[in-house]
Amino acid sequence: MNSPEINQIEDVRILGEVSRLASKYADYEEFKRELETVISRKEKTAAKARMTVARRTGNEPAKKRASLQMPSEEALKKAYNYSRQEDKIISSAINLVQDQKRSLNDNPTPVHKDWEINEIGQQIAEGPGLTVLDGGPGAGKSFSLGKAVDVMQVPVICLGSTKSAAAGLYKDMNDAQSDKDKEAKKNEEKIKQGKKPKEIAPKIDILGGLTVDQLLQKKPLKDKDLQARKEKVLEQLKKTPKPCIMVDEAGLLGHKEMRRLLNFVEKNGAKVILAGDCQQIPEGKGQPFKTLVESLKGTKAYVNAPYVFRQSCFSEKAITSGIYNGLSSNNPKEINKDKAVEFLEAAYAITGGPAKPPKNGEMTFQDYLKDPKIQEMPGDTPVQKYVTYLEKNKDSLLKEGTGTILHNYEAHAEYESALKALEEAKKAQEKAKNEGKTDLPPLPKEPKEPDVPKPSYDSYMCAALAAQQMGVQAYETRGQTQEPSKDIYKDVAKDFAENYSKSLENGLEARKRTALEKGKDYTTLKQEYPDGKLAITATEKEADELNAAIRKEMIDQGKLPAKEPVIINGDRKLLSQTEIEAAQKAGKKVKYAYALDVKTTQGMSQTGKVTFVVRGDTMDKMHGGEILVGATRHKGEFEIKMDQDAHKNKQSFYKASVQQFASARVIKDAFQPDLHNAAPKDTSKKGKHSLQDRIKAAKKERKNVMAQLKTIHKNRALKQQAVTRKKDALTH
Amino acid sequence: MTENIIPRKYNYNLETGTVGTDDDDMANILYNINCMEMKASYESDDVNDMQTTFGESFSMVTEAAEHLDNFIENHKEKLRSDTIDDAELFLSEAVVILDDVEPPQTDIELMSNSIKAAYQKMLDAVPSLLKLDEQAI
Repeated sequence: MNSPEINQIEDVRILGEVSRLASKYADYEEFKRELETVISRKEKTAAKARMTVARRTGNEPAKKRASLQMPSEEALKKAYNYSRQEDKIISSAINLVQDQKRSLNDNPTPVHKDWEINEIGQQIAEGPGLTVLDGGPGAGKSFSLGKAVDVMQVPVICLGSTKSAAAGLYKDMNDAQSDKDKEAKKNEEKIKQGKKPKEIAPKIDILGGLTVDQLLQKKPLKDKDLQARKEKVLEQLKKTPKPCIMVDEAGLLGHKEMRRLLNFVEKNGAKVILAGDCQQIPEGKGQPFKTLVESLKGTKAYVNAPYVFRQSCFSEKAITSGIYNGLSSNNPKEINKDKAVEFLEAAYAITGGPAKPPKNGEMTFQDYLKDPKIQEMPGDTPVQKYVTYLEKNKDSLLKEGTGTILHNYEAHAEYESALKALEEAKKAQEKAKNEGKTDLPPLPKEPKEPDVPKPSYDSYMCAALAAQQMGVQAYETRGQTQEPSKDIYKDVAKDFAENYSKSLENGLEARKRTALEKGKDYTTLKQEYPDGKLAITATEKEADELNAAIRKEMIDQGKLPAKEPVIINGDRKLLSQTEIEAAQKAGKKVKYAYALDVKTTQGMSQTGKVTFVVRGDTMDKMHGGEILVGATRHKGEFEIKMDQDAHKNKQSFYKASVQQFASARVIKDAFQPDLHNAAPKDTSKKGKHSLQDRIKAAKKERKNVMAQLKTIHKNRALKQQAVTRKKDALTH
Repeated sequence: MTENIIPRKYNYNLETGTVGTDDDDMANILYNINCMEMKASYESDDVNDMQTTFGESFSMVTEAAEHLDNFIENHKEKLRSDTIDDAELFLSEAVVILDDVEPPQTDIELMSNSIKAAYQKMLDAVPSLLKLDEQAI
């Protein structure tokens, strides 16, 4: 709002039009022509309004007014340029991208590109002075940033568009650094034991934990801790090597914030990495992150995180993790079948973004559950049948999983011993060289790292269930997120061996124990349990179809209320006439409705679930309906929440929503008219907030208050009389 | 920032639509009134801020008046003249209040009070607007 350039225009009445049209027209001359038209139209409207008022009130038109004037060329140009923030953002971005000094990719530490997140981290680190990382919820954006830190080896300043984003990134980064201490300790022990230590990247200074606003505002921050952090950040920016500024949830930055941030980065010579989801809707004006993503696509400055890791529900890892977390019942020895079913149903229905594309030989979760062995099982839904199947075949599945993992251990043990032998041979050769011998001992072949087979999907799932059943804390807890590691089998196998050994054949138990203790000599097991391999994936389309089918089924069963969806135009701009016509042509009903004062979209990236914070009246207006965001590709769960602080802190609420409110509109049935077509309109709340009702309510309240006041007065008078009487009695 | 003293009435139930109306003009008038509520509630010590808010308010008010003209033109056969007069008067008064603020303007209080007064006039127009909406069916 603070716009000195715009306000060089003297006639304050046209400021609104100037900023509106400037952001609409990319060509200055076109903008100027349109402004002239609008001003002459407004002039006529104002003149007509004066006449109307004069006619109706019977007075002469009021004093001569100053007519609306086109501003001077210079002032108009300044205002236009100011309003075209987008251009400025892009030009700053280009400067940053082209600045070779900032690229920090002279000596990048190579990371092992064994999986996508590492690759993404490497790409970010090798990117130019400005790098944008775009990805949907759960795509591993924040995690990739962590990987990039290790590659870049420069101090990192963690920022976020919101307080929670800033705090989250700061915490994650710090945790990752403190994990290095633990790893270093472990390494020391390994070295003592004569084992090969794990490679650890050097520790990096992590600074910040501030919002973009907090860092850029000139006034000192009230919070002393934050102020101290801010000072450290500013100090670090003066030093060399220049730090890297990382901004999480950059998709939520508005034009103004983005422009200020890029200016700041330009001035301070740092590198900036913006991580976010370009489909998110910022609180401020515009979608600058989206603009950047679109401008930088195809260059090194653009890194895409296309796969959903956190919520790729059909990936074994996510499901297993979900089951394990979902099953934390009071009694860990008991499988909470209901919860398992609940989780899997959710996983089955989730559409949190594109899942990993299917590779050769893989199948979808849906297809997998069609297997006759699962279909034979009792249960109402495929998922219930599947859980029953897992329970029934627990023993054999665990055996299989254990066998596979033991097989892996053996393969690794062989590989490691071969490596050791190679190293020893090299040493012996060097020693021989040093001694001046010509007859050098031959070197063995360099061993190949074994292709580690995965346990079968079923056994993996079963292990998660069994881990819960046995109360085995099979995997490490990392912050708030628990992720299963391959160690799950080690622990499960251990307990398995201890608990189920009696039922096993003679001799097998002993072998198993030996295998677990020594990590080798389990050839029998290896032969017995071939490794299974099944990764279950689904495409976005399949997931959408599944979701729609499930929704329909649930509505039919009465589990989901059949409510009208309310679709917000995700760009939060008015639909153009062409768009409206196109929608109408396609048989879609387009209706304008009232501004839906969405205060903010909370937690989209963190949970895949969007919460629209709206005011109370909007809540009623929605008929409790479901919100789908048109432009958001993640059609996940949405929820409308009433803003709790709206009444407590009106100032901040109004300030925050003033810009949004101006550009938000609800468009009913604009995109998916058939989804809940049969939904009856909820008329029960009609008129609840109408003017008449409000007046009635106010009158009623007033009546009540008056009645109460009357009673109070009456009682007071009676009391006074009694006191007077008592006084009189005493005097007489 | 003082308390928002103007009552909020942005939940209009229209007969021509579910939560809005099929008529763009009427929807836009009510939409602009809603937006004006935010402008009227906004207060800042910064002159630039208030000037921008004022400019935006002027746009909203004049736009609402233009839409009302269109609406009347489109449905004139069905509308009653007394209702038209009422609605027109209130919106015209709102326009005049803001139009009277002489440029160049740096008086924060004057601008803020004018926005509030114009918003109040727009609110006064709501009952007649709702009647017009009913008549237009």
